[in-house]
Amino acid sequence: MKRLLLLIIPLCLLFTACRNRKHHTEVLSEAARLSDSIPSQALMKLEEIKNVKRLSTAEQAEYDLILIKSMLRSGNKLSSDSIIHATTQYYLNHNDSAGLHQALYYNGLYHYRNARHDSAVLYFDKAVKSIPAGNDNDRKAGYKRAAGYSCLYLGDAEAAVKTQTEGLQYARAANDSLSVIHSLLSLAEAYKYNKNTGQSLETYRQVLDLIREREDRDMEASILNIVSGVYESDNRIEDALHYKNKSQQVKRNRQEVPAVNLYRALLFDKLDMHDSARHYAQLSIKGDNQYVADLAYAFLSKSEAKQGRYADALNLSKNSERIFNSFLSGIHSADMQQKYEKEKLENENNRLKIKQREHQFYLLMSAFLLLLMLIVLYFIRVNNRRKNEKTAHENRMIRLQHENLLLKQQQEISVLREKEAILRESLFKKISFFHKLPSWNREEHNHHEQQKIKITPHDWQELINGIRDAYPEFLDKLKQHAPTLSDDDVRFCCLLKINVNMQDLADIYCVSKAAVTKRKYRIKTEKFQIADNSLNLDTVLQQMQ
Amino acid sequence: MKHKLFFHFPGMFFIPLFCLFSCGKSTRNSAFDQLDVVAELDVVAEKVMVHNSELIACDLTKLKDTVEIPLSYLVEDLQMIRLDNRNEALVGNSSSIVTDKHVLIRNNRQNPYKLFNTKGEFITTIGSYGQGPHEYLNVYDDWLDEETAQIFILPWQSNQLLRFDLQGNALEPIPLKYTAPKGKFCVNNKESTLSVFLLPFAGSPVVAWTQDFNGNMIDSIPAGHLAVQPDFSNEVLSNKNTREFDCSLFTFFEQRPDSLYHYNMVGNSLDPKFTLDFKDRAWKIHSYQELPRHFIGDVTVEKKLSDNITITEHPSNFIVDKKTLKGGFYKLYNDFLAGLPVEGWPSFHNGYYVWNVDPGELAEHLTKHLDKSKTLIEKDRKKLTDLLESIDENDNNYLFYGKLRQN
Repeated sequence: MKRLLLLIIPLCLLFTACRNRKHHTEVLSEAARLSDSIPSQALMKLEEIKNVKRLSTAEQAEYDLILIKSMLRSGNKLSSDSIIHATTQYYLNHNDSAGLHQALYYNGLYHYRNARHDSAVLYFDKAVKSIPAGNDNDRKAGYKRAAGYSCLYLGDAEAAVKTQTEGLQYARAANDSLSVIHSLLSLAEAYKYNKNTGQSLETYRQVLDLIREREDRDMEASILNIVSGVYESDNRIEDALHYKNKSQQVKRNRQEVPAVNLYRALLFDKLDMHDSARHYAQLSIKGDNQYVADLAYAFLSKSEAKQGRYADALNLSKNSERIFNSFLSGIHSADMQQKYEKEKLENENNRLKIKQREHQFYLLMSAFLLLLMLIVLYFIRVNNRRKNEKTAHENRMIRLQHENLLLKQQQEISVLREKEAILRESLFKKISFFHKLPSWNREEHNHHEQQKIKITPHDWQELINGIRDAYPEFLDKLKQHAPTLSDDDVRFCCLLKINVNMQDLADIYCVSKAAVTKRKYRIKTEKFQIADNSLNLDTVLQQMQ
Repeated sequence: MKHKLFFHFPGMFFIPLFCLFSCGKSTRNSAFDQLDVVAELDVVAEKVMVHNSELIACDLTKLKDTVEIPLSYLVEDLQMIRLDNRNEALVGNSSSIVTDKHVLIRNNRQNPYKLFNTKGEFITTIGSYGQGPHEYLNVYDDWLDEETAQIFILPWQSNQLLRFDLQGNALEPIPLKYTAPKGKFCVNNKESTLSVFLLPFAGSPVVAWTQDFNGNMIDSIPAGHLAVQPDFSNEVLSNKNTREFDCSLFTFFEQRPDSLYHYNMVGNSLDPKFTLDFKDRAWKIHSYQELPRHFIGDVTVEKKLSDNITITEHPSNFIVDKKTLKGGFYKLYNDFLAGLPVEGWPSFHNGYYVWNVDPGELAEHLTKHLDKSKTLIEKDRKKLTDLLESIDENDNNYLFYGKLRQN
């Protein structure tokens, strides 16, 4: 049995360990998958691993990498970069390029988020270099794009252009049109910041060509808007307007219509085409966007004031103020609503917590009461047992006392009986009849020969009297039990009563012992009507007192 | 742009069966007997004479059952209009008036009134936002009169009723005898009179009056016990779904016994027509509306957001048949659109049911309904799916409307 247990227990532990390992592997795999699309869910998945320290080193590194990635991608802040450093070091030590470049990239992203762009650039470049040549060009393009933006933040637009150009090369090498589009967009922006508007616009045109091939109207409209912005920043308002209109033609978003109209109004104003500007500004008011309407009213008010129409300007200004106050109160209401919803959720949460606590309390109370009940029952049981034992002991004592008493009484009865017997004997010895019986007088008849015993009527009378004195109820009982007994039978019974032996009886009646036995038998069966052979007449008579 | 949705509802198949079993006592069209879900309810009201006016008093404690009412029970058919998609025609989910030939969408602050025809073609804007002449800020009531081809607009806190023609040209406004903080009005073009039922702040001399178009008083009804505290937490309601000028006050904080009235301009009286008796229960926020064959209303529960802001939640809608006095609580679903739930406060106004909806919102509703509903038959599912696929989120709003059943 012991050996069996020694075998089973390790097997169970091994099985559990294997299961856990498999579970961890599955969790990590699922979390890795989620970290690309829904990083917040990846974080929740990682929480299924209760004890991270129990993971193997490789698993722990994978866990850390997924954690870093998900935290950064979901907008959460990492408290420090120690975990990133540790992960990076692990992959470096283990020559794991796949893990290393990711760790380096997220290290760069961490610094990017913390506005340490010089460190960000360094790590992004390292990430690119850690990917083996010819592999994963798409990822390299992505890392280069991130590095390029960091350069822009550092104010080094030239370096940004260089980096984005390199990124574009990688994207083209990856043969991924979407990656190329993103790289081109990043490069175009870098050109813009590098004050190379021509190159920027040319690059945007390349993007537009690619987007048109993909027939992505949303993106096309978006790029056309960006191009409009570039023209505007270059003070080429007409072109800016042209591209803005084109954007609306490609894909109109009804929510943006007021803003687009206002933008047109501003562009027309820059072109000194004030009528058109006013027209579009008024159009922009006639939409559902209060913020745009506020700006449009303000714009129109200024425009009217410039024209000297101060009354109109004042009215427009008042409208602007009304709209502004209106959406302020809307924000306040929305804010209050949000606070209410938050409070409601918190209340609900608290209510659930309270309910949970109540449940726990009731459970604890129930458990406590149950325990208390058990304890009380135990004590009652113990108490009852003690009582029972005490009672039993007392009963035993009483019984013993009774027995003792009985014994004493029996003893006394025995003594009394002895005394009675002695007294009887004394009584009988006083009677002369008994002197005739050899069995009564051993000393007087101490000779070998038994002679016939002659009993006179006086003797018989003495016997009867003696019996009556010694055994007062004997004769009545005889008559009661055997009413058919003759006098002679009575006398015979009396002799038996006083234990006259067989010889004496034979001598008294001058018969043989067998005849005495027969007579006893006859009296027993015929007179007393006792059929039981185990019972003899002597016994019966001795028992009659 | 116009799509006519026929009177499709799943019960058509059962018409013959139901006809066999109907008692035939209703004077209504037998084809709709099967829709009379209210007939299955208990009698919840009684008719009481109050100053020569027959008042239907509904006992709140008798409102127990809840029925699901198909929209076709109240509305003859449902039309769908895709409003003109031009930038200048874009509208929000504002209140809308539908007449035989026009659709008028109310302003949304700076976005002015916009007029369309019943094909959805944009005609013109009506007026503009502001406090200048012929301008309006917040509007409380409006009316489109096909006979005189005029649009009337009553802003909040106004001492005049604005007028426009159907080309958007401003006409001479009608001066009001009293300033209406919030008011509902009824124009009688034949007699050139205007009747107004307003929110009577404490101290206001009148609750309703009739005047001519020059602002001269004809008759008025004192505010009396109808006066309310002078804030804007209360409303004036009027649906104009019958020939009468129905009006009622909706009070938010002051809960008190009240009625829906018919403003009897001839007799210069407010004739009470419907009330909800709370019996021994605490008064809750409630409101009444009148339809051609029913009185409907709701009882709402208030929720306090802060010291100054309170909102209402969980309205329980009730309906009472004017003839049978049977009624109960109800939930409305749009059986023209395969059982799409009708959420919020549906608009029954000027004899029409109107639903002005943003296409994105409509798409969301339809998607949710298609996902949640397990009992849609294939035909209905296809209808909704086709509609969903035809929706472009960048379209202008869609308008669903239908005439209310008169009998």
